[in-house]
Amino acid sequence: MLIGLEAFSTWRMQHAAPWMARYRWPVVFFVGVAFWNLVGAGLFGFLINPPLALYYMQGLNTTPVHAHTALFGVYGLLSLGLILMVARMLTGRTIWKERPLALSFWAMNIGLGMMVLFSLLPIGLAQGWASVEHGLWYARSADFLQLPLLQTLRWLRLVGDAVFLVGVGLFTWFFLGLWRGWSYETGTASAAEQRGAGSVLPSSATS
Amino acid sequence: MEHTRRLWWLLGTALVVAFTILGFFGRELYRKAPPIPDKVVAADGTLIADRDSILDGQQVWQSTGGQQLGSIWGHGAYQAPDWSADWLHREATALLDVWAEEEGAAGFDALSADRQAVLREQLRREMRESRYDPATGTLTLSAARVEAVRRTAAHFDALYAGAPELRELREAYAMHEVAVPDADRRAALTDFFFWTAWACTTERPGSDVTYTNNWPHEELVGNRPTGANVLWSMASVVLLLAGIGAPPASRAPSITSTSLAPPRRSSRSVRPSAPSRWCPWC
Repeated sequence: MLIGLEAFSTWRMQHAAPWMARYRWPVVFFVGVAFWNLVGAGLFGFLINPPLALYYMQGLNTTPVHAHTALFGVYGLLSLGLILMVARMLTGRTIWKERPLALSFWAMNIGLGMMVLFSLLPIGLAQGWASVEHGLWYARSADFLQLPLLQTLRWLRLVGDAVFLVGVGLFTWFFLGLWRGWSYETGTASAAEQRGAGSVLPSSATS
Repeated sequence: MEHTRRLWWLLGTALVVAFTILGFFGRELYRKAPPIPDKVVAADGTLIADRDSILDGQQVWQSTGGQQLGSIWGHGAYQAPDWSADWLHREATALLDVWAEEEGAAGFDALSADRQAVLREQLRREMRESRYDPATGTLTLSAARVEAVRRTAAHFDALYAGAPELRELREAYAMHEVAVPDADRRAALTDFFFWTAWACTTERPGSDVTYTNNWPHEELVGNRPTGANVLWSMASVVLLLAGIGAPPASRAPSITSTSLAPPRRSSRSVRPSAPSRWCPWC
């Protein structure tokens, strides 16, 4: 949470220096990390980890709720942010076409949220109820898991997963574009001029 | 310099304390693991299972994907059942039926509510009391329990052998049609499942808590959270609140002192948004 506030204040400082604007997307990914650190690792982690919760919820769908949001939400976004940071430094003073990147960021985050909220969490909570009420054998039994409602919830995962995959696709497409050239802004003369300069490091880093 | 030395001591102490606790309980885990009996015998001396068949069964279970297909003691995949909890429930209900049939009833459900209550209490004691003798490594089961284990094993045998009447169940479990073709290996697999369920329901020597700390939740055999479990859960919530409250609380005195004292011009105070703002010890 505190790290998140720190990241957010850093993000606001992008307007302080012109070169910061170019680092907007790496930093936005780090803000995403802070969000999932609170929700995925913190809240969903605490949901399953006190001894009493673990007693009833061990091996239910509440575990992947925490696992997915903490592993992708925190480490996934963190590594993507790091990759973007490195790419930003490698591509010098070029201007990125950021639209696919923005869409990718939101698709991945919203997709992850949909996957958890529409499918994994409702199934996990229903199982948790079954486990407290009848015992773990029932929460994991075919009798319970093959109920029409739970079948539907399981398939609803496809919706969130699809949105997430669109994000993954856009991120890949953007990165291929950095290599093949279609992810750079070429419309303005100044951008082309800057690219022609061929600087590998941001000017602020050398000044 | 004084300041960082204090932090190093704090870090060092925290690490030593944490790893001592971790190491101690890590050792206890191995010391107090549920025993694997050398022999599991019926009251009349018939051999039901032995150490080798239980450990072979573990390998058979691993050969079907192990933790990729269902779970043991809660660890594994979520699609198929937890085999320990599933076995435990089936064995407990089978034993109730066996006793009911001995009384001439068609099954446990056919008995009167009063009689059912008596049998449930009998079941709880039968399942929880340890009949394992550490001196000889022998676990002795009553005749009725042996029959209940046999019936439960028959279900798992049919499940893994591809019995047509369980096709729908296998579909729900996402299992192969014939997961274990060899009958001897299926027998070993059921010995292993039996042992994992036995550890879930049998009390540790000199204790009223099972080898798995009363896990899984199963009212039939009296498996419910221990007092320690409930109290530690409350403690964890309280400690979490304390942890959330500590950083702002430790910052509070510095806020009041800076507001009371006249502003000092130092390089520290003019730094914009210093990272240390969020550090409780700085």
